Amino acid sequence: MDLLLDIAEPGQSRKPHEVDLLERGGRQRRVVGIDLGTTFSLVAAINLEGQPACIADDAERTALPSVVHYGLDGAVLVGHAAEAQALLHPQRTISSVKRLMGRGLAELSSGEGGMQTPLQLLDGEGGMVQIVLGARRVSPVEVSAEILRSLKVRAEEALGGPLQGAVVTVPAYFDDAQRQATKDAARLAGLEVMRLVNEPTAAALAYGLDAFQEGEGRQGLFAIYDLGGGTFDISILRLNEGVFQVLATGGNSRLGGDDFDQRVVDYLLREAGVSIPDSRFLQACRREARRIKEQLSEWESVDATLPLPDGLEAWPAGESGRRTITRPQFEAWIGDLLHSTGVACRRALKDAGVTAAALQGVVLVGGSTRVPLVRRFVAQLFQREPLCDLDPDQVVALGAAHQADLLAGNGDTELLLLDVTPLSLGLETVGELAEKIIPRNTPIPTARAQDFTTFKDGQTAMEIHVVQGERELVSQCRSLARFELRGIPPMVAGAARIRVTFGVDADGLLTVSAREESTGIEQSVRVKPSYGLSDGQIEEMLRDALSHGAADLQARLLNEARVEAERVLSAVGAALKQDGDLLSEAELRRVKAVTLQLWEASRGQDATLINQEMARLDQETAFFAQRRMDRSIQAAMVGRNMTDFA
Amino acid sequence: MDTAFCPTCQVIQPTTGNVDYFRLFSLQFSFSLAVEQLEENYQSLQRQFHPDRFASRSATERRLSLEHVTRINQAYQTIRDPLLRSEYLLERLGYRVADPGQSEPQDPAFLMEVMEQREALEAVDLSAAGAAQQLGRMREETERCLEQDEAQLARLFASCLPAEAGREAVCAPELRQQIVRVNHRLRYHRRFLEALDQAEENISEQGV
Repeated sequence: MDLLLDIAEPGQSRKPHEVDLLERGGRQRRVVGIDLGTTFSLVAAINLEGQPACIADDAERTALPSVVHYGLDGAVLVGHAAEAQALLHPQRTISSVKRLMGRGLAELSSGEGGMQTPLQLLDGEGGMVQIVLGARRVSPVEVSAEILRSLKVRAEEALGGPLQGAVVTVPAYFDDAQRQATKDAARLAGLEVMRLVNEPTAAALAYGLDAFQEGEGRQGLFAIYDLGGGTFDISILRLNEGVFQVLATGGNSRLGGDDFDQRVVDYLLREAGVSIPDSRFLQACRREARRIKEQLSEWESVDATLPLPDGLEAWPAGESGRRTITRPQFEAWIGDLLHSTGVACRRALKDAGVTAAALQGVVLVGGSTRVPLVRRFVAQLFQREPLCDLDPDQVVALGAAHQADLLAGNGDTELLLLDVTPLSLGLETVGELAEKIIPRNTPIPTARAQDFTTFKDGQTAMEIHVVQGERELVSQCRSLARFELRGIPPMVAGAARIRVTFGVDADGLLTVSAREESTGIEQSVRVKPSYGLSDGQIEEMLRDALSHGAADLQARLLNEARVEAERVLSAVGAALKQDGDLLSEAELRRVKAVTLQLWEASRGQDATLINQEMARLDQETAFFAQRRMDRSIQAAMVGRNMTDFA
Repeated sequence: MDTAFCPTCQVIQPTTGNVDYFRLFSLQFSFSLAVEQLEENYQSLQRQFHPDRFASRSATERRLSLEHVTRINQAYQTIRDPLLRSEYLLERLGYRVADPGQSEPQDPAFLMEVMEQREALEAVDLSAAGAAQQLGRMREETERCLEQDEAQLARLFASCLPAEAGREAVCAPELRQQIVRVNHRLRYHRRFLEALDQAEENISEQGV
């Protein structure tokens, strides 16, 4: 980990006065809380008044759109700048990458939550999805790391020095693969992760604070209903004298505001008569859908503009391309999505062993809880008006900042978060059945051992298949890791005793070990689920990122050359179209050949070659330019009397 | 947990071998549970030992805190769950429920009941209109059974526990046999309740 700590962004000069102010007496550690969201991300820290506050960018914006654009020139844009590229370069602009974290292609395209995306995806190593960007491929972990790096830079500028640690939030319902991927992304961004904290728990911390400061007893049982851009969580907590104990959690890591948008997109596509949209059209629909959804939270009806399908110059007669969408219409489209959150809520209440009536309050978190139907739905489900005093977009980051401060030992408060595992962890047994070792909603950190035995005489090896999920069949659970325990001494069936131990740490991450105990011969294996990046891979990626500095200049030169080549090519193309008849067939062939060479060079990586080819084309078309000039002078003279020139 | 911190330097100490889960929470060694006392003591132990409290301490102290809290959580999870609690008590009385190869005592009347319940559940048409009500009735019935099982366990355990101070608990073999049988029932009813949960969720997912 030392390697990671040594990496500081260049240009992070300390601003002395800020350091003095922010270090609150000089003993404070510089730590932040980060909410890595589906649609946007935030970073927060404890401010001068000792309160958590979100850190804004130069333009006073706190929310960083979780969008990353990979330019053709190799430059990477994050946030608003990346968002601006989405319509122009839909396939090189990645949004909602959180939905891809720790996922395989099959999971993404199958079943509910399957989304239309302009991105080109394929299966990478370890069955995890990768995004294709021309000749390059990036993993969701790398994309998330770009977002985190951008927040890190922002925080370091604001706090006046390198960060010493960060708490990063994850949806409570994230499984082990998704958690591991998030932690890898943070490490790749050069952050020291003090803790992964569940989003609803962080939100509860932010809320709890207010209550305690007012000195009032907002104590007892609470539900946190957290509907973000791409994930849904429900957590039931018990608050008692500063201890936030999660009793049960549930949710869906593939359900959120994006799905609301998708329902509107479906409508726009239907109305525009487009069944197989290209990526650009899809992007335009998505943007319009988001606007409609947001405005319908304020207005009873909203005017919608159908994006014009490719190949249409204008809408045909009788089609204005305009529609009016009413709130009830929208509510009908998303009703079933809310219904499925209700199923998760009831299950969480049941798991916690409490009834809705026993709750002291329900807290709304996440931007999607701004939708009026969501509020009505939650009020009805829990039979009370939900609390939404804090900005639902910021509350998770604020809570994370607070937890970071606690872990850094900066504060002197007695607050403590106790969390649980969201999903059951188990092993595959005979008949492809999943045997649960650690049931869902077990308090973490925890460990549990289970004994197994051989079922054949003389069996010397045993395969151990670790799965996560609630279903009975292994095929319906998530496969986390497979490994083989070898060297079991040959014995009669049933004589060996193999003890498999599952350990879940405070981040919710799992390690499994197995050992044969009956003969005193110990065989021990430690596995980390196979989808995560190895430490070696992360170091390699970090080194790549570091060498970027030198590569950046080269990339910029290449980009400039490409842009110029593009301009020249389109100018030559237009000239040939207009005045191609000025050239003999041989001349035309020659010009076209040189043009083609420039086009080919412009698709390569060599800026010098592009510049050379441009110069050659310029040279080879000089006579053509001359003839065109002559023609335009002649054209200007046509139809005029000689007297005009007299 | 008096020995968990060094009396002079206040530094956290390693966990000691086998600790009695009930003693960890200052609870009486019995099946009947003082829930509030468990919750209160659980939280107070967490306040002392949670890794967050040791985040800025040495690596050794952090590891020790993790060990302590892992054990506290194991104990908490075991004691608050009636089935795990019963099995833990049985284990302390010298009977290992989870021993591989150990055959469960069979009770023919109970086996019949099991088969009838399973058949009844399989016969429920989840897409039919009255399915939710049907499952609801089965749930009430099963929950009633669970209550009975737990009440019986409480009564049976009470006749051999708590042991007098300073003496090992003793349990006559016939009594233990009875406890094992009820424990077996409890485990089955719990599984059946899970099957009902699954069926109910399948209904609510369909009923969109």
